[in-house]
Order: sequence, then C-alpha cells, then structure tokens
Amino acid sequence: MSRRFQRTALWSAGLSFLFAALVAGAWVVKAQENYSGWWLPVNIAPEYGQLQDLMFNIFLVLTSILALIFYALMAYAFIFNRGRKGKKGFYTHGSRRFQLGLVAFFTVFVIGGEIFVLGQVTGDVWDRMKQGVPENALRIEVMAEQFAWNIRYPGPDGKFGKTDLELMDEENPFGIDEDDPAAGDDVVTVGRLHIPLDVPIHILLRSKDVLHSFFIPVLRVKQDAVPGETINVWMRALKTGKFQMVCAELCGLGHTAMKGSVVVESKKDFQAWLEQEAAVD
Amino acid sequence: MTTIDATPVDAHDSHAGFWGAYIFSRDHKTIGKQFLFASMIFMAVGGLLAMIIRWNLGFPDQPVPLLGSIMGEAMVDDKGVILPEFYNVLFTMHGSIMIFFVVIPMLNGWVANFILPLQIGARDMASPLLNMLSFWFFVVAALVVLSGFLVEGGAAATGWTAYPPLSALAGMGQTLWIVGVAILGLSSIMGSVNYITTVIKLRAPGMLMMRMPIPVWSVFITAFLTLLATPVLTTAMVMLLMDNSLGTSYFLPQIVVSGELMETSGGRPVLFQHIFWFYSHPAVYIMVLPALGVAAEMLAVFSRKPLFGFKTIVYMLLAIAAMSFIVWAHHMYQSGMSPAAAKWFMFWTIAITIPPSVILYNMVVTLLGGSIRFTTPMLHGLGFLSMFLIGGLSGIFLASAFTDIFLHDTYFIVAHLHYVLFGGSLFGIFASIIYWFPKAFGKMMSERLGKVHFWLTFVFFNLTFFPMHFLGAAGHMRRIAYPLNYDHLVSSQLLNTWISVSAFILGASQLIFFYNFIASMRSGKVAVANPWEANTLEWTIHKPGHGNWGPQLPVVLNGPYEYSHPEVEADFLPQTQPLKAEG
Repeated sequence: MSRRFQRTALWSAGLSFLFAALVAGAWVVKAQENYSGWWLPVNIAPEYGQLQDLMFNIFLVLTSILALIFYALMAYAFIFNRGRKGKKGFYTHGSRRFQLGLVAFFTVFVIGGEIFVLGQVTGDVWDRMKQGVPENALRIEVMAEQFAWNIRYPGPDGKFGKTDLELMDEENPFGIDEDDPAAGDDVVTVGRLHIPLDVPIHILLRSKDVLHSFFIPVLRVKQDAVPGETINVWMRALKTGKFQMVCAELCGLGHTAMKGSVVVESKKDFQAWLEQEAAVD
Repeated sequence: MTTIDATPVDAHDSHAGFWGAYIFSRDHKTIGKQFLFASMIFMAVGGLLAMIIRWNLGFPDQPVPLLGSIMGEAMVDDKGVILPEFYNVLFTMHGSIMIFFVVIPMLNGWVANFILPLQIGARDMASPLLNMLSFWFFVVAALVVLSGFLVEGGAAATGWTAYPPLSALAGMGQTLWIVGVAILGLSSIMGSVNYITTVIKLRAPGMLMMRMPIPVWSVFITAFLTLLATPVLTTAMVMLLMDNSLGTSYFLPQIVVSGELMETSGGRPVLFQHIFWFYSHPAVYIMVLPALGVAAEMLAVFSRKPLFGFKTIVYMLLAIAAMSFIVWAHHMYQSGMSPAAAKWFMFWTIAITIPPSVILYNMVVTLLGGSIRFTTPMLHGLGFLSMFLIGGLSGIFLASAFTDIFLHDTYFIVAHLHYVLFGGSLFGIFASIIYWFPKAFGKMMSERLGKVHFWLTFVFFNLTFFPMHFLGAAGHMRRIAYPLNYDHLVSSQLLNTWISVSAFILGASQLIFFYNFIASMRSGKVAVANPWEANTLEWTIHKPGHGNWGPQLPVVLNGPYEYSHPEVEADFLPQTQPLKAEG
C-alpha cells in the first residue's frame, strides 16, 4: 500500500472519530432530558435497574461512534473516489500484516471491552438478579394463564397452601388444596399486583398452560413463565404509584389483552390492603 | 458427474419439450429462475401481510381500506377491522413467508443455483435431478404452509418460532405449518449437498479454491451451515408434529388449558427452544452470508478495485460459520434456562461480532481509492453495507443478557431483525437480481427506474424501521395487536402511525421494482456479454445454453478481483485472460 493511501485512511478515521464522539454525546444527552414516551420509561428499580439503563447508554455511545466512523469512511470514498471514464482504481490487495493487525485489533477491542464491561460495570449483577433472591424478601406467587395474571399472597402465616393442578378451575385458579391448614389465609387476586415500597419482592413465577412473559417496564424486570416450572424473580420498587404489568410472550388469541397493574404503596397501606383482602376471603 | 463434464449440449433442452425445459427442468439456470419467480410471488404475499399489520398498528379500530370488505369473517369484524386472532396469523405468516419462502430461497435457491456453476466454470450442478427436486419440495412446502389460510381456524398463529405448548395445542393451520417447514428442510438439505459437491468436484481447470469469487465462497460456506443445522430443525418439527397431532409430550408438561387438565406430562417447553434455535441461529447466517457475498462482489466490481482482504474475508466467513453453532441460546436469556449458561452464550455472542467487523471494514476499505461507479446494483451493495452495519450494532444491545432483559420481545428486536434481513439480505437480493439480470434474461434492467426504486426503498426503509428502536426502548412489546391497550404505550402511538405511513410508501415502492423487472424482461435494452466489465467466468459467455460452455471449458488463469491491474490497459482482467498477451 502506498504511503499516501495509508495516511488518508488514518486521517479520515481520526477526524471522524472526533466528530462521531461529539454527535453521539449530544444525542444521548438530548434523548435523556426530553423524555417523551419514545425512550426508556421511568426507572423505579434500584441498582440492578439503573445499571441496565447505564449499560444501554454505554452501548449507545459505543455503537454510535463505530457507526459514524464507518459512515465517514464511506462518505470519504463517495466524495473523493468517484469514478470517471478512464480513471482506474488503486490496485492493492492489502498486506498480510495489515490483515493480521485488523483481526488482532477487533479481537482485543471486542474481548477487552467485553471483559471490562462485564467485570467493571455490571459485575455480577446478572447473577444477583437471576439467582440472588434476598433472604428477607416478601414472597408472592404469580400464576399466568390464558389470559390473566393470578396473584397469591401467603397471608399472615407466611406460608402458601399446597396446590394441585387437578383442583384448578375458574373459582380456584391456583388449585389450592383447602384441606391444607396453611391454605386458609392465602390471599388471591387477579391482575393487580400490590407490593410494598422499598421491600425486596420474591416472585414465584408459574404458568398453568402456555408460555407467558412477566414484564414490568418501570421495574426493568422480564422473565418467561414456563408451565411445569417455578421460576424465581425478584425486584424492589423505589417509588409509589400504579404501573403497567404486561405479558411479553405470545400466548394465543387474547395475548394483546393480557395485562395487569402493579400497585406500589407504603408498607402501611400495603398491610392494610392485605388485611382487607384476607377478610373478604 | 463425468458425463456432464464431457458432453456439452448446445440446444436449450431441445429434446425435452415444454415440460422438461421450463417446468421440470434440470438446468441449473432455469431452476435458479424458478426460485426467483416463486420467491418474488411470495415476497408480494408477505409484503401485503406486512401492510395489513401496519394498518392495524398505525390506525387501530379503523376498517382496512380496500381489503376490509373482501376479507372473511375469521379475519375482520363486520366493520372491516382486523380481529386480534387474525393479527396473530398476520405476523406469523409474514415472518414465515419472508424467512422460509423469500430470503432463504432467494439466496440459497436463486443466487446459489444461477451463479454458482457459472462462476466456477461448471456445466451444471453435480446432481441436476436433486436440484430439480429441491425446487419442487420448496414449492410443495410453501403450498402446504399457505393452505393453512383455507382450513378451519385459519393459518398458523403462533409466530414464526412456533413455541410449544401454544403451537402443540393449535389446530390444523399449525399442523400444516409444521409439515410445510419440515418439507422445506428437506429441500434445503438437497440443495446444500448439491452445492458442496459441485464446488468440490466440478470447478473448471485452474479454478483454485482461492480463485473462487466471494459469492461462491459465501454460498459454499452457507451450504455447510444448512447441511449441519437443518436436520436439527426437521427433528424439532417431527417432535412438535407428534406433540401437536399424536398426543406425545416431548415439550409438554402437565398443563391446564381453559380449566381442563390435559393428558400430557413430563415434557419441557424450553427444550423445543434449544432445538429450534440450534438450527435457527445458524439459519440467521444462512439468510445473510450469501447476501454479504453478493454485496462484496458489487463493491469490488464497481469500485474497480480488488476486493480488499479477500482471503481474510473468506477465513472470517468460516469463523462466523463455526461460531454460529455455539451462540444459539442468546435468543433465550429470559426463557428460564440456566442463568449461568447465559453467560457462556453472552461471551460467544459478543465475540462473534469480531469476524463480521473485520469483513465490513475490509468492504469499506475496498471503496477507498476506488473509481466508484454508482450503478443500481452497486447502490444496493452499498445499501447492504450501511444497513447491515446498523443491524449488527443494534445486536450488541441484545447480545448482552443484561440489557436484553428489558429489550427482549420488544420492537427493538423487530428493528434489529429487519435491519439484518431487509437492510442486509434484501438489499443483497436486489443487487443480485439487477446485477445478473442480463445473464439470466439477456436484457438490462432500467437504471433510471432502478435508481428511483433504490432511493425510495432506502429512505423509507430507514423511516420505517429506525423509529422501531425508539418504540422498543419505550417498552413496546412485539406481537401485540392493540398497543393502545397499554398505559405505557399511549404516548408512542404517533410513532406507530408514522411508521405505518412510511411502511405503505416502502411497500408501494416495491411495485416499481416489479414493474421494472417485468418490463425490462420484455423490452429492456439488449445486454452485451459483459455489461459490467467484470472478471468472473459467467461474463465470458454471451448467452449460456444448456451446459453453459461450448466444447471447451474455460481455463482460469487469475484470481477474481484483478481490477485496475497496473500492467493491463483496461481496468479489468477476466479470469480467463492471461496477464501478458502473447504474440
């Protein structure tokens, strides 16, 4: 490769890198301040949720820079390497050294970036999110069905009554065995998940028929519900209010109507609500 | 095989008659064109379904214009508004048709069949019979899947991924879908065996492996993916068919459907996902690599430069193919599989970005210092390059299990996959059709109409699919018929309407392409033997008849990308032409 060719490639890459960093930075700042329902929704989750958004933004900056470098190179070629009649292209096959360097660069860049991001930024958050349910968490059972979210609280005794698929019907969506002494005080609701503020919640996620997916956008939680399995999900809400809970996995005819709400309230309000529900039962 | 090699046949299947020459032809060029025509018809069907999807999302609760009155009562209500159950059919069939009956057959049927023997200097495929069967299995598969529209309960409605238990519980339309996809698998396997054998055994004298043009390499490597992955899909389909129709429980645990305890037990739904994605992740590369090969060819030919880092690109294609078998579960981070396993898949999924990055960088450097001719096929090649990049980069967000928690099953995925399959594959397919049109039909496609079509497609493609990233970031789930049902999606409805309007213009723009295709075939400018001044072997024969070359097969002397060689006066050097003219 000729000197001139190399120099041009280097310069255009360098300049476009600067330009790209500027544009990407401005874009991210702008997107964050003008929240309009076209971007990441409100985030009421603690560390695990904030880190998800941070990662999203890191990727956004990184990919924007890469894309702009790439487009700058293309634009350079379009402007300065337009074909004319009789004008030949620059004959080069490149060199083995350049290619080895290229592969090495991308390998170090990608693997290094991966190790850095996983090690320094998110650490073991993935593990803690998927496996590290806090000991003191409030346990709530969620049973998905076509096309509703059934929710069960263990009641004052803190124990869930036994369930059996054979006992399931419209009146008894969980198939609770009423003979079990622990079952008497269980509270069952449909489509409304009440949770106390700032308390870790341990969801025992089940499905009775097909796949569903338990998705609460503001809490940055999503997990498929799989029939035949009980999957542990945990979360914590830092803000009171009523939020949307949806099914994110196609589950049949009524999929588009399968939704519910999450009501985050103070511990006192939550306790009052739970006692009231238990009395109704 | 030796008989094909030794005996050229000059006439176009002269003694075969109409049926033998055009319908049950064994000529690779005719079969390639058959794949092309059939896939174009399916593209129109799949595109129409997409338009109806967009109508429902952009203009909810309003009757579908024109079509609303002729659609059956299983599809629309009495006012002509789409029913939610039909909406499920719409996106299922749109996805299935576009993936199984447009992108895969266009690349591994049309491009592979028409180009591969011509570019390596073979007279035909190793087994013309198998080749013909491959096409007809494909047609049968498509008809079986589409016949779902005619049976009670309508066509399949469980997404192109057909996850059980839903798909195992579904009716006749789903059963036909499963059978159709299994048949398509057989078609793909037949094709791939043929391509591999042809490349290994039937190259012209002097056609060393490293003298094979990049489209041949990409089809060749893709054929290995198809051969290794498709049987797994076929297995999954057979198991699913048994769960669906014969009462087995491979994927079904004990479940209660509408209050009734089913007689199923012991199966695991997640098992299907593992088997399905073990095929379908390599299938993503089956759907993209040949298009990448075509785009790379365009860049070299029209930059009048050697393809930069040609050998590296080949090695990187091999690396992608190998790595594509160990990343499948990145589709399943939230499926309930082991979170520890997710980390292994995350590592490899991010690592698999290395070879495509190297390839794309080499493709861009091919442009630098070139003498670029902005012809229509080149524009589509550049379309591939610029749009596939976005598809690749947005994949990084999804590759990370952590950010995928929020983005999984949202429109971010829809945006990502359309940037790969439309922005990538389809631009590659358009490039291949326009570039090899003169070889296939002896005419040139109109450049003027071609450019109008390209720019409309390029602009409205981006206006349609780029905003879907924003929808996904806002938490807009895919596969929902009525976004307005959800509190958190009300504010993004304007965006949905915007996307729909763009999509309609994008859809309408494709009519220009269809018109250009048909009109040019009838009355296009007559093509010369080598209209693009390219090096590869297919341009050495003017009108390839049956057997392609005359008594003498071409002898290959150069690599495929000797453009603008300093010792040659012209800016190209055909593979058969000696570098120094003798005497």
